[in-house]
Amino acid sequence: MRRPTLADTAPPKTPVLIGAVSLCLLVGALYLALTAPPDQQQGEAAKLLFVHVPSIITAYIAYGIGLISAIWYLIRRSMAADRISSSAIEIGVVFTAITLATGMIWGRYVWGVWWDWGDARMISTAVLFFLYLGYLALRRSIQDPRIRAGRCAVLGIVAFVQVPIVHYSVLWMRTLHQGATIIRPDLANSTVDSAFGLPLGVSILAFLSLLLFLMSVRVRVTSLEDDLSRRLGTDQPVGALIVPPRLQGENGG
Amino acid sequence: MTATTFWKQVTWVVHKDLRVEWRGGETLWMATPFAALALLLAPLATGTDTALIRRIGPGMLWLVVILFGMTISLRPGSYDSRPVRDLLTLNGLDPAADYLGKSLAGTLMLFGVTVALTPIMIVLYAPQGNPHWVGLAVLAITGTLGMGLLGTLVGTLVRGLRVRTALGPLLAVPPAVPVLLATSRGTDSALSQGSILTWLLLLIGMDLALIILGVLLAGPLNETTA
Repeated sequence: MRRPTLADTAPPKTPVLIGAVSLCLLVGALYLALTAPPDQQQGEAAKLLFVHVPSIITAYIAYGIGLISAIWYLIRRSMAADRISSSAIEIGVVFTAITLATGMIWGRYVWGVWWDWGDARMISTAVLFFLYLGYLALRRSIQDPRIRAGRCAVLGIVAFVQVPIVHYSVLWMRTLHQGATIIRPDLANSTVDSAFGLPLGVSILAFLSLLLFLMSVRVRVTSLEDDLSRRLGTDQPVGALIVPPRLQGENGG
Repeated sequence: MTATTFWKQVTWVVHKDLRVEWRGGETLWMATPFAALALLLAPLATGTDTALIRRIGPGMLWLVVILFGMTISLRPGSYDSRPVRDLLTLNGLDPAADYLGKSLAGTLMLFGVTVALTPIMIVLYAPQGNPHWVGLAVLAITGTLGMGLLGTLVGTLVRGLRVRTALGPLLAVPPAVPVLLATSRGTDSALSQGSILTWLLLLIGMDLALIILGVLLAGPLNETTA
């Protein structure tokens, strides 16, 4: 077998290109967000929404990719599908954490509290975060790739049930959080002001391209990790590999 | 497989799990007294404000049932050893029947725990109101069914893992939030003779979703644990 070289781990050109596009969009979104006028009621705090809203949309899409890949895995038993699913969910968890953090900071300035127990969107998002954190914990605790892929695919499907609950919680329950503004049935009657619409739109595009970039890198890293695990011929945690030395005279030897 | 055979298998799994539980007595002699202890300790943490204690009683009961109940419904994943599962598979046990049977056994145990803890909660917290007992019973059945289904699904996910005792509750408790919300708010409504229909519909919806998902995914999940 050929020995792997450093060149084998070098990223291919496509993720680099997506990364460059993502960076340009992020810089553009930042410029538009900083130059946007302050909101009449919320002031400068409204600009946090240029991160908060794109983050949760990106997280929804990441979890959606995780769901589709999980179903794909269960149908075809493709390890590539498992890698895509786990990478998407991992990145989705990061974006959910960003959503929660920016939401709490925004809430502190606009509502006067970091956390509001009456807010269904906040609580359901926190539940979503812990649910997918559990997915990552399950993934880390299984060494066998096939068993890990199968069980995580099942959890990836079950956990996705929470996504529509988070999104529609503001419609189903009377809550402090504002209703849906972007993903709503009557998309033509958007409630976003035109002064905020452009920076928000560019920001959403930037976050989605960032998701694509991070996913392409993460899938590749996961693939390299699996490859390394195969080459080393072990997927055991180190503790299981350490055995006490056999002493002379032990077991009648 | 005919429907009769399927339901016979479900009944058989329920009997098996309840018999194992009866012999071990973990739910009756360990989990239930520990849950009762938690009910006793909670007011010490919140302070002895009688009005507050009266108000939080039903919510505390359901919180304790969910947290301790999850450890009960997660248990079958730990005592079904590899040879037992191999034997059941070779005998043609349908994974969906196994899932439903385990869930029903878990539900019966959780319902028993809830029934045992309710008088303790009434004595310790003295919640006020004129309870609608039928409504409370229906809430308890649908709520414990949801926990039983969820616990069985998660129990199978963490079966055989070194970290299952820590990981199981982390996976099972977040999706159990609608159960906590519906049972505790529904109990409040039942105590004040209000309508419990909304909360009941939420529980029934969740139970149906878990039955459908569990039955559909039982086969693929069984492959990873067989």
